[in-house]
Amino acid sequence: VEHREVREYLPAYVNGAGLAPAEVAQHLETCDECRAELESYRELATVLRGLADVTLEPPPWLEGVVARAISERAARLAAVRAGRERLTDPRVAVPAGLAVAAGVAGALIIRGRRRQRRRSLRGRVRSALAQA
Amino acid sequence: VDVPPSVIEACKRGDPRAFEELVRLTHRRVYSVAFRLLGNPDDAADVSQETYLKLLRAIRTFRGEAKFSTWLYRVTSSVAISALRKRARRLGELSLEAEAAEELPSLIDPGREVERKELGNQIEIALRALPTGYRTVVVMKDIYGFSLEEIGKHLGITEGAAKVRLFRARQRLKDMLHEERPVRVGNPRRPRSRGTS
Repeated sequence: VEHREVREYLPAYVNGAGLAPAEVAQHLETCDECRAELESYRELATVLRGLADVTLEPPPWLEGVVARAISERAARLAAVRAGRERLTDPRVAVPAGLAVAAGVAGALIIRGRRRQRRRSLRGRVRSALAQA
Repeated sequence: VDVPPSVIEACKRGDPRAFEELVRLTHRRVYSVAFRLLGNPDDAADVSQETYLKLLRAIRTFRGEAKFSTWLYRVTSSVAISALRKRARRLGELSLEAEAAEELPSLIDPGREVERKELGNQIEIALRALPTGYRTVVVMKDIYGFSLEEIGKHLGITEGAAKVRLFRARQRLKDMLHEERPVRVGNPRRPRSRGTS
């Protein structure tokens, strides 16, 4: 195989021979130039892996701005969640439910009485008209 | 530095102070991932802010099956890639060769024996000179250890396409570092200094 063909396989060869033909390995055993090329890929891979632990310095304002924004939002979110949780708490939900039910019942009773009053008034008017 | 479980649990409960602590402990890492994917400091700062807002909503879904830092890299990468897509739409390009570049011929000194740390610095510069499509794959796979399947999903390409991009990106990077040719980068500004956290 030619150097050129072997070099096509080298960027993948860093992670092992994989699907590279056996001729590539044979060539690498005898060709110093291609072996050196493979070595530079290996070195590149090692340094790249190491970069995960190297941090770049962010702009000095970033930490403060982000910390403020996120803690404010977290506080708002926590307040909303607490409100929601209070509503589902049985100690709050049961009395609140009873109060709502009592309110609805009261409104229905009042409406019923009004209707009754209106009906009796209509009856009295009709009987007065009949007598007249 | 990984984040103590107590801080993560407090964040899940919505404790604002815990979030401040989380930012203090992780903002350098988040910024670094964003910078390496996006290639410029302004976009990296924007993406860092957006990442934390996403994290605020998503942290309750963190189950501790993976390391927190791995999960954080995933969230950051996802926000960064969305930003890259928006940028590509804005500029009307999404090709692998995208991003016209300026020449920075003196930043990489090829053919010289360099210490590993110096090589790291040169690689950081060379990464920024890579077209976006190549840079994202090599950063995600070779620096942060994402699987090709995961990268494919993030970028909306097949695993095979991600693999081909990775090999071409490695080839280009190696060529940039070892051949005498001008290095072209999209944005000439560099981070102010380097540190660890």
